[in-house]
Amino acid sequence: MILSAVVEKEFRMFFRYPLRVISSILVGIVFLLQFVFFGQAVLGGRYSALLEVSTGMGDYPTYALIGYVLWWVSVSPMEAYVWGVRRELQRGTFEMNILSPAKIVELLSGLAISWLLMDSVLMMIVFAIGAVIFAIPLTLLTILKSLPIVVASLIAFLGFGFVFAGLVMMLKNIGPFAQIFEFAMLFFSGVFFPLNVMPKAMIAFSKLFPLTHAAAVVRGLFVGKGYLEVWGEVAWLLVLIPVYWGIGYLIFKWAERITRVIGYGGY
Amino acid sequence: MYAIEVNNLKKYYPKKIPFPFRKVEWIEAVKGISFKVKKGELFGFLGPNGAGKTTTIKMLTTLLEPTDGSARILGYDIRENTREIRRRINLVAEGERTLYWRLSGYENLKYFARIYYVSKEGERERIESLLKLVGLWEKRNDLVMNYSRGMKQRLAIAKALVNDPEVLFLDEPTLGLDVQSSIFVREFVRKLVDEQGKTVLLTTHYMAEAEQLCDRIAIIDHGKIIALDTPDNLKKLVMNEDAVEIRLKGNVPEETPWRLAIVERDMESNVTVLRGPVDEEELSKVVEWLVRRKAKIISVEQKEPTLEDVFIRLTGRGLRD
Amino acid sequence: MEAINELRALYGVAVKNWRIFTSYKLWLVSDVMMGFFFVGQALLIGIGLTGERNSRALQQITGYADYVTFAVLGFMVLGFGLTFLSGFVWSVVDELYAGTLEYSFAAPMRRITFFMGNVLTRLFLSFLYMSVYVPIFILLFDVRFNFLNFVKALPFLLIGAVGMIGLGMAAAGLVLYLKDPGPFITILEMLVFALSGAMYPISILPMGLQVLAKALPYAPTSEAVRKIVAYGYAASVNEISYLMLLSGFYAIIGYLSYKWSEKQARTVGLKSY
Repeated sequence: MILSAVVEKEFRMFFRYPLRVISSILVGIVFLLQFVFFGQAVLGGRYSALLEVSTGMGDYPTYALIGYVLWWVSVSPMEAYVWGVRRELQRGTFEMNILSPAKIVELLSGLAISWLLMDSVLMMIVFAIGAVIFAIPLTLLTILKSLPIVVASLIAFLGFGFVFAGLVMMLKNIGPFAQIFEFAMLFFSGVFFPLNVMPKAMIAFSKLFPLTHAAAVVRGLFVGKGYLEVWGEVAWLLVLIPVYWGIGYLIFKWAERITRVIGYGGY
Repeated sequence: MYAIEVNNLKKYYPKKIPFPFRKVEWIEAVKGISFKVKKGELFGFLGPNGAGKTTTIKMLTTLLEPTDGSARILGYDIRENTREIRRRINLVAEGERTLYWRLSGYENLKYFARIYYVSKEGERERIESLLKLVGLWEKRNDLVMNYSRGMKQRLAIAKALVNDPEVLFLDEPTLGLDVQSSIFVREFVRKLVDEQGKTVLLTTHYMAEAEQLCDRIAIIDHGKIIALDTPDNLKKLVMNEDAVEIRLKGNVPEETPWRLAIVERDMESNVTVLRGPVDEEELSKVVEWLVRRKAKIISVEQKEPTLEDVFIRLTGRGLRD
Repeated sequence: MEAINELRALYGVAVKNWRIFTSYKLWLVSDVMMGFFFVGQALLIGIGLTGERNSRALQQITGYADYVTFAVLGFMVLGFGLTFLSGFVWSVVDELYAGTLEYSFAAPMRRITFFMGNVLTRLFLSFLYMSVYVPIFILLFDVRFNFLNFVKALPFLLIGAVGMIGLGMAAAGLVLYLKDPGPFITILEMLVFALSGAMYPISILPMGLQVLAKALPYAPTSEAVRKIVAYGYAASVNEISYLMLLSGFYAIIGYLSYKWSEKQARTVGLKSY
């Protein structure tokens, strides 16, 4: 009931202003286009033999689109917590929510889920537009096979996002910190370029991100591989989920303790 | 059982976020207050800005963790039983940014009804009756961003009644409101206590409001309660000392040696009003002192003592200082 | 005397913005990192796709083989250009959200002073970032370009800026009208990003978008600057002429549309958020 109340409230406010929906979609598309067009300009086309050798996928627009969509799905929970909570703080309504008998975890999850749902709709639109612009060959089967990995990546970051929920409650304005983290993840997970161009230490570091493994699995599925062939990446992903939840939960609880001392309001 | 019991409640704020291994200095906002509020009582917290009123309310409404001391709301401990308390209380917070401006009045109440676990069956009826009660039924579908200040406050009150709380907290409920809206809020709050038997704790720095509304008042200053009683009993503290009001043209030449505080300063007409408990014998000395310092006296009047005079007597300052 | 007052007001606005921005130190860090992020991405994409630092395909279209230098120059022009758009539109929106817009507009200072004060702060920040980026890009990414030619290109960067100011003024006028200007500005900025030619030559876009890109002042400025840096003035006459014409056009349109919007806003009233 609480979750649906929060979701309904957020949806009403978001879709009441269609221009916001359009601007969100445009941001998503333009960001993608920048790098894909750059890649195409450098290649003089869309195919890279080098990319195919290093990753199994030679079509750059497809490679980039998969990585980008998965990145978007991954950062969605963090964005949801950071901006969802921050918006409540800016509006002055955060304390009114805390005051209610609803559990804070329910309220925050409601904010996260509503943002996730909105973001998923936006992401699917961007994905569809990207697929059309770059004529990406899609089959329903490939999409369905990829869905469990998308969900797994989402679940991992749903837990980790609690870190940011806690930090934003405590510090109020952590937008830049979240942005740095998101872009660092985009960089280190090889969303737009193959990881083998980075030094070995950074490649090892990139394995700590669920996105790195999710992108590798989905790209593998797209070129016709089965789950068994990418089981290593799947295993990494499954191991990282409880780790991320653990970290998220611990940091959130600590931040909540501090916030009760300093107060929930005052943006 | 008392509705509210507070025992030596303290709140110190850290100057910086208290990360581990970080030395932190503390600001003492509430320095140990104790009081009890009976059920069905309208209790006031009167004090100047920064006295600790809002901090106290936030602790009692479980939004802030006390540093020390204890408090119970309807028998429930504010640290251990936060959810039980939250089901039974509500708050009209200070300011107008406590509602969703991009939702209508109706939508706001619907949302809060749901997070306060109002049953689905009773939700519609409750919202309709509340909106009619505060006179916003006709405007229920307008976005809150288009409401006037007074309308927003009325909606905030409606929101605070959505769970039919036993105890209602109001933090400066008439701040920034026009006269008509202020009258509405005051009368409404009084009715909640008289007709519905609710317990209300309100904070204000308007002494007339406290005097008019409250059954008992705690005067708070610098984080401590300096007096607590009914308005009449509080005024008795200064009953033997008449309140004198002296209007001057221009500024006070220097601080007077008597307990006189500047209670008004009108820049347009360049008039300063001094007020304080001064008996008849001393009055002539006060006037002589002012004349010697070339103050331009417009009028000197003896007035009925008010809570402001009580505050001045206890602290040497006016409520507006 | 009046000029001195106006300059003091301009300085006041600039300092106020500077203080607000630097009060969130993490934003500064995040902003600076964006530059490294974009250029770093460009480098790693290029190497990941081609295995080389130079691209023959890019050279054929633009005359630039080094894609990192291409991206850096584009990024610098875009960053510079966006300060004007942001300075005009975000200043209105930020003040609107803070509730201080009416106070600022009720003051005797000229409106253009208000906007230019905002632009000044952003320009200063932009130059600050460039002073950090350029040496690091040269050292870390081995970015090379003809510095003398870059200095030669500067006047045309400024001419392009006139057009960007015009566009900013027209946008600021519109923003005064809108109830929720944030998304509108985001849409405008995204169009500018996509059509600026910063990360890629606009010639690879579909024809319709190419025309749109050439109609905005950003892509023509990027093209003129890049061509002058690579080949000098003589080879860039067409780009220079077009840029001058376009900038003049936007300057006039921007000024007229802003004046009209301001008049309308006084009739209708400034929005409050």
